[in-house]
Amino acid sequence: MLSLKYGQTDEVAALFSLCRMDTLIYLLVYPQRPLLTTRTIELVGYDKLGAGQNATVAVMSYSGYDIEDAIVMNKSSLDRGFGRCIVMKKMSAIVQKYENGTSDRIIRPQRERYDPERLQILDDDGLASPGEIIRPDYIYINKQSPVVTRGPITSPMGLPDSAYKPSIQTYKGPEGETPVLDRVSLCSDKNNNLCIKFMVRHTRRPEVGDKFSSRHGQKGVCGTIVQQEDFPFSERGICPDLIMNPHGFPSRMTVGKMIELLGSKAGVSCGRFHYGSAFGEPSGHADKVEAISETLVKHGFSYNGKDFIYSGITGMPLQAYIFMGPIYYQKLKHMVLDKMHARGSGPRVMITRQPTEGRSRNGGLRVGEMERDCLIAYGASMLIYERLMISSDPFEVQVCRKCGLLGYYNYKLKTGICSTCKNGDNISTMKLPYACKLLIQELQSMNIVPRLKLTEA
Amino acid sequence: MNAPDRYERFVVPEGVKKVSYERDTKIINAASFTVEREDHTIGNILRMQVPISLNFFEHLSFQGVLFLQLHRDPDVLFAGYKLPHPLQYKIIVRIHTTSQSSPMQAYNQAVNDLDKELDHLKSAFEAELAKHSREY
Amino acid sequence: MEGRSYQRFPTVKIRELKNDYAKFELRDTDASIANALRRVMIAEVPTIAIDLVEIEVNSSVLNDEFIAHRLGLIPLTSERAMSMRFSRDCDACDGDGQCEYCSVEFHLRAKCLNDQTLDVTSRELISSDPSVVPVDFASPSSEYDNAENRGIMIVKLRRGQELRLRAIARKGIGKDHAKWSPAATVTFMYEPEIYINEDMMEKLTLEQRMSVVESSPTKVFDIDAKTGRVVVVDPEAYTYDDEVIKKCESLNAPGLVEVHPKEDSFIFTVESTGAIKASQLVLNAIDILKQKLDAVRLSEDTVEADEQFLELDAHMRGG
Repeated sequence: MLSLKYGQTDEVAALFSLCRMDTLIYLLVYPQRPLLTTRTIELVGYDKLGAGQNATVAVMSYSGYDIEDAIVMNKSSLDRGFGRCIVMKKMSAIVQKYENGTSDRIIRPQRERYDPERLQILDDDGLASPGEIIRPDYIYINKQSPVVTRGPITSPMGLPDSAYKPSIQTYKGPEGETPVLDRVSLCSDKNNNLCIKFMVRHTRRPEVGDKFSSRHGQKGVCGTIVQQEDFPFSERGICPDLIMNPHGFPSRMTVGKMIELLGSKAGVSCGRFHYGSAFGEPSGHADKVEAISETLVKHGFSYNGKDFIYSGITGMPLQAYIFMGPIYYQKLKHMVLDKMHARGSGPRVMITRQPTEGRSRNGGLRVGEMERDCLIAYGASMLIYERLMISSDPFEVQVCRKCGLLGYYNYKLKTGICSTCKNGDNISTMKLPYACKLLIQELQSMNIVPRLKLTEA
Repeated sequence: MNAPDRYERFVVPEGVKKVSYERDTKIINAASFTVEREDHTIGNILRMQVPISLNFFEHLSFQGVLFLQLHRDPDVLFAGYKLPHPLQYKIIVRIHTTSQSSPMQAYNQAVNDLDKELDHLKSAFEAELAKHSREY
Repeated sequence: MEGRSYQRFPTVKIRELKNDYAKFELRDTDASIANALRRVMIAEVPTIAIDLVEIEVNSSVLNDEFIAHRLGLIPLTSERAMSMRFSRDCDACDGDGQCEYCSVEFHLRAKCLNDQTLDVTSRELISSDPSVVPVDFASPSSEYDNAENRGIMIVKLRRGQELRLRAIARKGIGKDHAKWSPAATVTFMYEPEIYINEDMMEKLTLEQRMSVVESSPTKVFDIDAKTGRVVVVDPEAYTYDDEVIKKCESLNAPGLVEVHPKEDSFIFTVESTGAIKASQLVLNAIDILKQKLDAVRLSEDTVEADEQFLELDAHMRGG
């Protein structure tokens, strides 16, 4: 069986995925077969690997939380398992052998050494046991490494406990997520070291900000989750799982999605999977919209796929007929839980002393050029001052008023001294961004002398 | 995950009053009632105390005055409600009455009427149920 | 605070009643009441559902959370639910939700010992309370109860696989999680009033009349075989689709058929999950709605949340 890579969706890449120790896999909890397929999809066997679910979609506007391709989701549908997915991540550890014959060791947990809470998922063999709920900061492997790894050692096997230092590994995941340790596998790597792999599993229900897509490239994030009783309903009792804004149609021209909706709706009514192969109508490989409409009418729907819908909020009919029916929706792997990020104070880059960049480094959010331009336009000078210096890299420097160069602070004499003038007579203290001080010094190293001219503020 | 706890939606936190009201400072006989942890269910039936224009049926060539309006309180000039935000689990009911009545009076009257209506509905349903079970 | 009463006297007529299905007419009220009833039935009538699962052994192919989720969605008979306590305000157990007033315990033990796949269903759940058991679909209705009486599938086990767990069921409402919703379908429609202009109909040929009858996707109209007149056979099948009206316009006979929704009468369809009877569901919904109204009534101790008043109040108390 081929291992297929399917881009962004949540589907099983191959049927044996669960037997492998992949670094990251996404699985859908209740995958379904699409109600409308094409001959090509069948030929490739794409419909055998569930990738999404047939969601009843109402194409209408609702609440304003559906602008810019956002979708509104029904909370009860989510409760019942719609869009639920399993994320599995791998963590690995290696028991290293060293050149002097020593090696790492895994020992049973010493209760007195660490907070017992952090040790609670460990078995007596020093490895976390499958089925345990793992939380951030929990130890999943109680490993120790020898202190001396080079040079000859008298008895390599009989090292005393004092010759080892702890090299435990702790789980680092987002706070609030409660993943479960799914599997532990022991194997040897290419250097013949013992390699321990842990699979961590987490079941996620969709939340605001998770990304979904139909098979026509109509992707959108979940804008809000609404109670079922607030959702519109038809007099047959049909309540959509999802509301999509009609503005997604005119510019994208995804006629296929509308045909899919019609075909799926006819499919569920008559109990036959319909086909939507491109240009397949003449050869009988696709159902014609006329035939689909006939099926719809036979089952008491309007030929155009639109339904008469009542508002769930007031109980009164909506003013328009709503295009409603099932569309195959896939959950994409872009989930807020993996992306959300905020920072107060945190790590800084050594050279510039400015906050680091990027979520993985717990970085800050940059006020860039354009944002700065906006602030200038507003005249919010104090805000610029605060964002660009105080909250970033403030630094106090001694400046010589005479030569305009930077001096230093002499802690013994408790005064600033200009290293060029060799005295402390004309020193002023001022604040500037550390990056600015760095620039001045770097320019000086290139034989360019930037001089600061100070005036009283 | 990042969402507020689900019970927040219907459990009134300690120290918070279920209902409170605030008189309008500019208009006499107008007040806003804040009802904690309620939604459209309560909001809508309270609001319907006052006639509102039902344009919903225009496209269905609906005609005729809603007889419901006749049953409504003529002293109420305005009654409406809003859910301020999807994450604020409360409704704000605003009532404006004539000088013959007061918003509080109209509010309580609406609740009492609805209560009686439901009493009636319950007994009507039970009677039907008894009748129905006898028939079979 | 006695004002004039503008109370209405709604009437009810039950059309069809089964254990899990009810169809009734609700007249002389408005959409807000009908909708409030619908909303309460979906979201606020309490039932009992499994809320906590402790898994002892699970060597099945489905993971623990998966099984717990499936268990939660199994409807349990919940006649007791109205009188039960919510575990969050149960005094007897201090809120840990494990006492008889607010919880029911379930056990499940299943192991596959032979080569045939073992289906673990809701029938294997053993309850500590005989009144709270998984809903048995087969027994009440005689239509389906032959060999296909299997309960709700939880998981399938192959040889050697085992599932052993303890589950706690609690009272809850659909607003919290859909598993507590007793309603499978609650919906209503406005009763349509269909009016056929006989004079105009007289002028049409039989073929034209046929086309009018066929234009409706649902079988609303038919032709009387004897007189050849168009008659309304099932007004409630009308789905407000406007197809007939458009047809009439295309026949150059606007106003031939007119349809008006009756603004004050509704036809309710209530389908229960089996947790409580459909009729009980309606009654419970009315009770809950009454309780809700009671809670929002202004009472003597309702404070006026006016800043000036609050300040004054504090001033007076402070002396």
